[in-house]
Amino acid sequence: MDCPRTQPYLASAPVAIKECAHQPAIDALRTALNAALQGKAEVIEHVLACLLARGHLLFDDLPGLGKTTLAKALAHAVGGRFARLQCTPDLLPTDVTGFSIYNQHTRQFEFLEGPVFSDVLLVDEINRATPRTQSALFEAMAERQVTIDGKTHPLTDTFFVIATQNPVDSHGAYPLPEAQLDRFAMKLRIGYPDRESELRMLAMHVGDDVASTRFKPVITPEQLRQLQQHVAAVAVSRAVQEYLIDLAHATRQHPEISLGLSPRGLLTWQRVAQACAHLQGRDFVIPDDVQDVALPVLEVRLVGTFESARHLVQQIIESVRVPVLDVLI
Amino acid sequence: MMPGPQSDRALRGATRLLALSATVSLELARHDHAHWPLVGWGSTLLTLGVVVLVGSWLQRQDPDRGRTQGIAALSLGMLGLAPFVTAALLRRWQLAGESPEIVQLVALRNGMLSLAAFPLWPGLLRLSCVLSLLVTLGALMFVLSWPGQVAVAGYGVVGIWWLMAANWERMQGRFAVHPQRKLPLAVCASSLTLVGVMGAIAAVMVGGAATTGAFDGWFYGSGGTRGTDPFAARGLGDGERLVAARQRAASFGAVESELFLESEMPSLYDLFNDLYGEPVTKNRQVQRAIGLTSPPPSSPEQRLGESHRTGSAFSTVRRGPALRPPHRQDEPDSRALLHLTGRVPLHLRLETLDAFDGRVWTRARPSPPPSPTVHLTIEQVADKPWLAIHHPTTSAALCRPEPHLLKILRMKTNRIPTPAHPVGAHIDRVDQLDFYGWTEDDVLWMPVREHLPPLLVIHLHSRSVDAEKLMLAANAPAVAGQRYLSLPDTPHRARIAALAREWARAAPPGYPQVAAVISQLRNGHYLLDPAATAPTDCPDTAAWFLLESRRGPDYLFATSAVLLIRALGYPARACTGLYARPARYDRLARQTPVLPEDVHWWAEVCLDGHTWITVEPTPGYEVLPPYFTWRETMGRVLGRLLRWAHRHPEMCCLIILAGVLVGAFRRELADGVYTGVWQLARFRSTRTRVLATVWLLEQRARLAGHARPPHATLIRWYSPLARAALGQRPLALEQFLAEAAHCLYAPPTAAEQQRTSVASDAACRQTVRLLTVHRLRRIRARFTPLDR
Repeated sequence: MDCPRTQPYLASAPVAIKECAHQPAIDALRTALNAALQGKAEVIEHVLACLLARGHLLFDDLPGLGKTTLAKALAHAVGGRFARLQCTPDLLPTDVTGFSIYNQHTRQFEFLEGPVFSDVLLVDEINRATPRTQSALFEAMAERQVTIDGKTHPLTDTFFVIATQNPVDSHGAYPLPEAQLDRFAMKLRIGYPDRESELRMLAMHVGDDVASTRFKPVITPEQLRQLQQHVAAVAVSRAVQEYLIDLAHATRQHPEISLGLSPRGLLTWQRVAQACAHLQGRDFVIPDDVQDVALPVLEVRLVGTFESARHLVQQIIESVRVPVLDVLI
Repeated sequence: MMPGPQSDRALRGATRLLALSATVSLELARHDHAHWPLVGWGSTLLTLGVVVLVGSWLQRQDPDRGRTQGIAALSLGMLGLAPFVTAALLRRWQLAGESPEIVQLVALRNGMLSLAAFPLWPGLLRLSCVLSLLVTLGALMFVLSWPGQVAVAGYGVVGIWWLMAANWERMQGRFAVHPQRKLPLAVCASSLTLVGVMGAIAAVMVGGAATTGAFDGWFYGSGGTRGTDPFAARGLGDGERLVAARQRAASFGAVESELFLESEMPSLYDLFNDLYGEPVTKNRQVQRAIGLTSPPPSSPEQRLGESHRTGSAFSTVRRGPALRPPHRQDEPDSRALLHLTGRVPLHLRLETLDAFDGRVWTRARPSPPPSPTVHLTIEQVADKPWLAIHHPTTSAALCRPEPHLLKILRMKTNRIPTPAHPVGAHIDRVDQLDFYGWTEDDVLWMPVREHLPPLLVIHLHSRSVDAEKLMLAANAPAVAGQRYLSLPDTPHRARIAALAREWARAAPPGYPQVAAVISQLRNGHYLLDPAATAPTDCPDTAAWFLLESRRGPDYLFATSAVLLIRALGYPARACTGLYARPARYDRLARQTPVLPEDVHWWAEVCLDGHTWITVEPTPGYEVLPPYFTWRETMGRVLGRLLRWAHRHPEMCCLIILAGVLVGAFRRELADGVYTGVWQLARFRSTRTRVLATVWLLEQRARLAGHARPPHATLIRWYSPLARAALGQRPLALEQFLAEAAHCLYAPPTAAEQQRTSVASDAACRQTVRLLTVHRLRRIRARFTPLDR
């Protein structure tokens, strides 16, 4: 998403806007994910928005809430390869990217691809890896290519990383630096399910072997790529862009925020708002979309001495005027 | 939105610049008044040095420690008290002193500098700015020369820059500081203050030093108080007693100028000769030409008699004013006869004359003893002896008494020029009743003296006349005496009477007839021309003026007016004295000088037997308007309204009913207007219709008290609002909101192609029909949309 060589973010994309041609695919995806994670429709919407916006996702939540389940369901639903990385302090960068090995039969070095060469990569407990390994992963996320021994290996277009971290257990952890956190599009919290959902979940798993649950793919990577291009072409009017910039200024001048929104973050926000608009069946962005995705997008990249991110983002939204009829002036 | 550290530094720098420019203005203003300027500049530099040193030391300390705060407070207190201590010491040792206002201003300046130098909290910076404003206003009061004015203007410029720097983000209009408040109050307040300051500076620049008089009274010692101070810069003429001051000739110090040479003091008849020319005397009239010097008095009775004979005839046949070299125009004060403080235009009566024989006015001897005369007593008012003038009855047309102050400079007379209806007079320390007298031609005089002491100050209270009440009053039969009704026995007497009757034909009897005659004289083709005097052999100057020449000096106007009014049957007399013109009002000294050319003739008429009303027949001269306090003015306006309501009861009921209806149904009326405007949009494009519906919805929500906060989107606000108002979310509203979002945020090329007008029109109409003001107002509780 934040690769400078991708398509421009404006409405002048080469792809013609088709009205809802891929809507069934989106609906199928949504259904599959909701089946995997009960009672968290809003989280699923945000996950879908992140996916369509070509962003990477960070889950920051307590253990056992369904992060891995969701990531696996998503990976399977999208089709393609799913890889999983469990981060420990002794994980090496080559364990992430892959390495060259000498094949005695062919007497040549051949490259064994690492987990980043999958379509969906689940990185568990990313804050446990050493900074060296973290930076290898971030480089792959940012550049969508890895360079080993002077050779460049590109990753798939729809490479999607879901990283998780546990806010509770911080012994032996390497917290992610702020500059790197900016590479994630969103930070989501799943939270505990409500009572009904928990009842349903328990009922579902009686007599079932959890390990045998597999999800069928509902969308091909090619379709996903087209969807992402489609999302990039969603129209953003000047008024909404000015609204985004006003919000960014508000974050930069808030007394409790020491590091406000960067231009890269602003681009991310616009792209995720485009995805949100597309998910609701519109081909233009309205300020509601911007407000809907404000908390996940801002939470991952704002640094400061605030206690509650939700409260802070609410304050910021309430301090900026939404453009309504003054759009015409 | 609190500023970050960078803008805090900028604010601090701007505040210090503001404080410095205020200091410069004050120092330049002080320089204009100081006896030893070096002392002032030296003390200022010393103060600046101390402030800078203490400030830089304090800034290195921790602002939250009690010790730092204590030291800051102590330095502030000491710097604030230092000017008072210094002033007291300097006065003690009889060195140069400064007026109390300047001492207070210096103390304020010290406070401002200390707060700007060591602001422990940001709020102190703003307090420093407020103090700088006060200091500059004070400097405005005292600044005399152009460097000071330039410095004050410079302060204004710095002030504008400071305001812009402090409020930059707000001025950009992007941020609602608080979503509930519509107006940024801080910006409004500071803008208004700045506008006020700039207005004051502009007024001083344009109006000159006179406008600074408006700032009197802001500080202790500015005058009008009961205190005295040897170094006072102001207080002239307003204190307990008029004290000498250095800079104005209107004061009563001993100065060497031609003002006060004895030989220059003219009497009233000297002034007549100067202004109107010498009277043309016929041989027969020689005996009646009275000398203009008063003979030495021998006994009181004889003195009284002689003062009747002396100077009590005025010939209306005169040569006209001779050409003389013009006086120096730059100092009218040096020729002034007296100075008048109080409302103008004012007729000051000096003599009245009642007998006219066609050419000469004389005062006839009194015949039978006069009806109950005016009665004088001395009363003590606030430890001052006041002469109370009791008239037998007071007409209802007279207003409450108002004060005037006369400062007589150069009149050789023992008559006190008074307004028409005096009720009280006060000369300092004069508490003997026999100093005052009341002549039978209704003039206050001092019988014990030949003429008034030089440089006399007289306080007068008098009543003005309300012409409206006069119009309505009934008049009593004339008991003022036959002499006031006599007409000269001339051939044209009948023609004058006929003219009077013709002019007064349309008016009801009483004052309206008098007013009709006077208005004909003023507006009806009669020109004031001091050079057009009557021919020397004219037997009846009034007839010549009224019927032939139609132009003449003011005494012919007065003469004609008296004769015309007498012809109608009302007692009238000619009156002479001084006329204080509004055009000569001096703003700086707040008084009107009366010059020798302000000698004037007018008429007086008596309608109810005892009150003589001033009437002014000469165009260009006005009678003093009635004096009303604020409460009385409002009462009159109310009375007029009530009278009108009484005359038109049905209109009144209609207006009240309309007002009540509008007040009760203001929301519905406003909604009707808005809906009408919305209907107009039906003839425009689909997009305009949808946007007009958005506008109407916003207005309705505002009228119902549920205005959309600036940060809420349309969907987030109106969907829950509709559900709260109607109990369910109407489909039409959802469609309409989607349309609105499309019109507002979708790129324009897609809009026209994709939306069908029929569906969107239906959605708009349905929304307008469903969400009325009445339904929205039914939501009683304070509405907040549900959080997502």
